[in-house]
Amino acid sequence: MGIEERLMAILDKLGELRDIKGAAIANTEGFVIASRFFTPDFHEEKFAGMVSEAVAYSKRLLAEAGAGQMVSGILEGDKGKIALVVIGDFIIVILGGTELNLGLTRALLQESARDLAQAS
Amino acid sequence: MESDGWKILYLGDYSLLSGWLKRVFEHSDLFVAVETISEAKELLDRQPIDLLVIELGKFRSGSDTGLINFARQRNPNIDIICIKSLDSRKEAPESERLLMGIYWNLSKLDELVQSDTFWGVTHASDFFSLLQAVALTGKSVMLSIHSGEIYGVIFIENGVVVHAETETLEGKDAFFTLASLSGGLFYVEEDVTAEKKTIDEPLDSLLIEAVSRKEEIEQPFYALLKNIMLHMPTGVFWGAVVSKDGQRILGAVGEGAKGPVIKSVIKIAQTVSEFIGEVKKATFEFENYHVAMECIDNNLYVMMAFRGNPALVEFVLSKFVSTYSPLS
Repeated sequence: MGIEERLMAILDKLGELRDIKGAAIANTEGFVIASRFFTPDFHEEKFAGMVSEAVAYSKRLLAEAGAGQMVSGILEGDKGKIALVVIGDFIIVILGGTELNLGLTRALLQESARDLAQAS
Repeated sequence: MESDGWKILYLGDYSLLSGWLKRVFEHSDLFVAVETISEAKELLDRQPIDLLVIELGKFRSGSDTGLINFARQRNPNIDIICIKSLDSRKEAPESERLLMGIYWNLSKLDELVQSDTFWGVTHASDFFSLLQAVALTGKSVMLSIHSGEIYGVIFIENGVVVHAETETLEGKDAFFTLASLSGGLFYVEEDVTAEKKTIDEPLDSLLIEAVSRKEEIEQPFYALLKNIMLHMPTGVFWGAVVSKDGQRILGAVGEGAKGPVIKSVIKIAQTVSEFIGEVKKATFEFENYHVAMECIDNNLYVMMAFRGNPALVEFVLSKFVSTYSPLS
């Protein structure tokens, strides 16, 4: 299986989550490497770009803060949820609705992070 | 400010400062803000820059001074302003920490920024000292302060505060709002008098009142944080109550560098709010600990840094916030 298929397989697996709106693999420079979004008019490049830029900003800021680098994050808003995992210079990010199951999402993201580490 | 024809490069990621500089140098030919050394080098290679503003200590050791040498090789007459925020240089003597948030290496910039005018970056502990130092000069000064979405001015004449205003307040209320900011940029102009007078009190008595008001506001948040830390089932490193824009810390307990973590978490929350609405709750895993964050009203977040089971900590945090929030 080629690298592209392996990345899409990771996203497909995440796509099985209930109330997921999309998922993307991006690098910390804001470039989308692979994505799968389920709303046709969704601006996926902008979404993944903004999230990875914010993570990259944190990486720079946290260099000497004693917290270490960011590993993962889960955010709940009044209109949806976002979960992300950072693997070196890559980020896997999930956008979901308010019904997204965060426990399952966290577990699947960790699995995806391992798959991505193997694929890259 | 006379900066016509200048080409200015700002290297750093302090958006507040970048915005401020952009306004100060609004008449320059070119103002570019970049965040990495390589971008800065590329730009310096491409065209002559008259003024380089660089944040020291943000980059890998030595690479910032390396860039300064690089810039000087490209243009020996370049002016360079090196900025270091005060919280990262606590070892500096008080007199330096007070005013010189910004160091400069000037030639023609001397014409621009006279000795009676200075800029700086300050933090809460220095703000009162800054006001006192300004008042002690006995001159008529206008102190402009910019922090997050708040912009305001304080006029001091012969050691007496005569006027203060923000975009929404004036008089003592404006003064106390500005005095409560935990950090921001300031700019002092001498020989400026207020067009109107809304306050007539010596600075010292206003500062005493500001401290007591600040304590009155912060005390319930300290109580909440201490209560949470006491009852947490696992080791908590620190806790803080912060404004949603991250500009004001209303209460903080525990050990550890909070600033960069708070700034990072807030930045991510602000970024994603476009997609998921206002962030109500978040958990972040860092290499050395977790951070849980919960909204306690429309304008504040409580944050805890801990090591242990995130689900359990989130549960306890939620319970305490809903039960003991000073705003509930």
